[in-house]
Amino acid sequence: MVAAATARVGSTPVKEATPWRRFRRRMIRNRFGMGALLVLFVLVLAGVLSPIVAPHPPGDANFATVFQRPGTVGYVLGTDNLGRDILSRVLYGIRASLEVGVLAVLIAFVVGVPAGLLAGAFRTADVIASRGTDLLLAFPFLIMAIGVAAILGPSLMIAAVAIGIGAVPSILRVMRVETARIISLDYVTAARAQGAGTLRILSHYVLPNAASSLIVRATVIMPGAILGESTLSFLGLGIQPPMPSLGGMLADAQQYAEQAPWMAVVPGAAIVLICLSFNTLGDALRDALDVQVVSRD
Amino acid sequence: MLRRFLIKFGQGLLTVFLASIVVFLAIRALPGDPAETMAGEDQNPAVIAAIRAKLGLDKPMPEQYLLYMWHALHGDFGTSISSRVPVSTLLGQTLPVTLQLTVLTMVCGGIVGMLMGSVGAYWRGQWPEWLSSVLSLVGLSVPHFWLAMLAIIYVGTTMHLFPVSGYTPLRESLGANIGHLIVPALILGSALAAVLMRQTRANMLDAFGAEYILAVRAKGASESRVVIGHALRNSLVVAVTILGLELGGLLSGAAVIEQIFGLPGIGRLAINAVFSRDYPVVQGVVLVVAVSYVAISLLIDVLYTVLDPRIRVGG
Repeated sequence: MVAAATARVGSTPVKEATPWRRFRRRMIRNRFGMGALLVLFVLVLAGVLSPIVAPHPPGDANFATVFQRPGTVGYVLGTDNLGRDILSRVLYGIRASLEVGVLAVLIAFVVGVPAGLLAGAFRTADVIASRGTDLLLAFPFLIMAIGVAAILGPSLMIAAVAIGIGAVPSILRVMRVETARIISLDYVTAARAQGAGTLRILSHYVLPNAASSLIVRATVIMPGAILGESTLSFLGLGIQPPMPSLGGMLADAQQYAEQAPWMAVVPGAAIVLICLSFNTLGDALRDALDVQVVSRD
Repeated sequence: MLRRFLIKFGQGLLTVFLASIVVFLAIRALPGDPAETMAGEDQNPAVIAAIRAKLGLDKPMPEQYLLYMWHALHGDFGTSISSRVPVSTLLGQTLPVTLQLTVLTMVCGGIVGMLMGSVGAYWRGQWPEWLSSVLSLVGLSVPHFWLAMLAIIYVGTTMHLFPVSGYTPLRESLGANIGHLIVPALILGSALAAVLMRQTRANMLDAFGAEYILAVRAKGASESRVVIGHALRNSLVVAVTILGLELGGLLSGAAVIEQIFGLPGIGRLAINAVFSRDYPVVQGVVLVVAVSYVAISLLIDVLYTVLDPRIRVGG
């Protein structure tokens, strides 16, 4: 105690308070954030390793084991109307949901970040980008996704593309606001005075400084994308059987609600757990990174 | 003020115009020939050609587009391929249902969200804040269709607390109408409430720390007047913004909720039309939704100026 106090009094601090250290300290102190990180780590691991850790093949129908209750030996979360192991199917479903989520976020970033940078830096690009986002927003995302699925045939990839495009306005807006904010800061003016071109300013100054806002935005888009995927799969427009998906499992569960309520409860709870973890992590990151939520552009 | 409104109006028109072109092209990219679909069993080339001519599908694309828009402006969106009913009739039947559902959702979600946000901000660091934070996180994380499923299966059918399917028009009975719509609206409003709660809480916290609230308190205003009349009033502008931003998502959500609760709304019409490749219906729905979206955005913009006088000056 005394030693620590003396150390602090000394003119040079032992550890310099870099942004990264500050972020790490705040993050570790946030119990909910760390809990969410842990849950996500386990979920991602379980999803990625689902072919290894799943106790049964997900498509294995067995009419001898139809409608087993959760807790049955060998079928921890029970079985469905075809005697398939729900735990195994949920694990594969989590994997599919995460794949769609990651793909959708990537697509939204690939389109939204460059467009937002340009919109924030150039007047003409701003006009085009804001008309574009208005146009995207005027189409309800689901109708658009259904339309795309109807034209190109439903699949995991199509669902991810439709959801990713639907999320572009959100990324674009954040990037645009951040670009306009950072570009007007003094150190950018200083860089410009030293002869840095617009491209260099955008890539070396704006982008790194907008990173925390983008990371936070990604953790908001991710659960939204996973909810979107489950909705599309529920309607039969996302991931197609026999590939297991959480939304598809819920669609199956509708008919057997009275016989086998666990068929409806387990996959839904899995969706809630994934999304809740991402949202909690997003909150923790936002606090730790000091990001203001952009509510209006 | 007027200038600002006119610019917004022009932008809205442009959006509708672009949307109509995108839909028109997308519909033509759909696999399958509508004329062949309409001909049904009788795949006689002469019959198909006649149908194509009747639908105007033999004309060049720009001409088809202009013709379509010309008719649409006169309220004629063509005829449904599957039901042979004019699309305008279908839209007229379904749009009021979705509008009522959306408005009721905004009211429910708005009240719940702002109430929870205020509670969370007022009792900062105590259990009400904790509770409202948890509820909002859950609200953002639960799929609507799952909530709807659980509500129908475990509350609707076993306890008979509310009708699980169908719809009564407003004209026939207000009570029955709201009875059919209230549970779908509450479920659909859960995410909206969650978003609103977070924003309201943040704004209220800012307000409680602001000097004007201190001034109001110093003047001896009652606590309820401080909270509702001043702090909450200033959060309204942001709440209205969020309602506007969430509108697209709300319309998407409405489609699924309508499908599950068997409400004859426009979202359900659209989903079924896409599945049955009923392209005049899809085209009509998207056009009407785009126009409604733009119109409501405009309305929200006007609301801003009413709620926040500073914007009027900003022009």
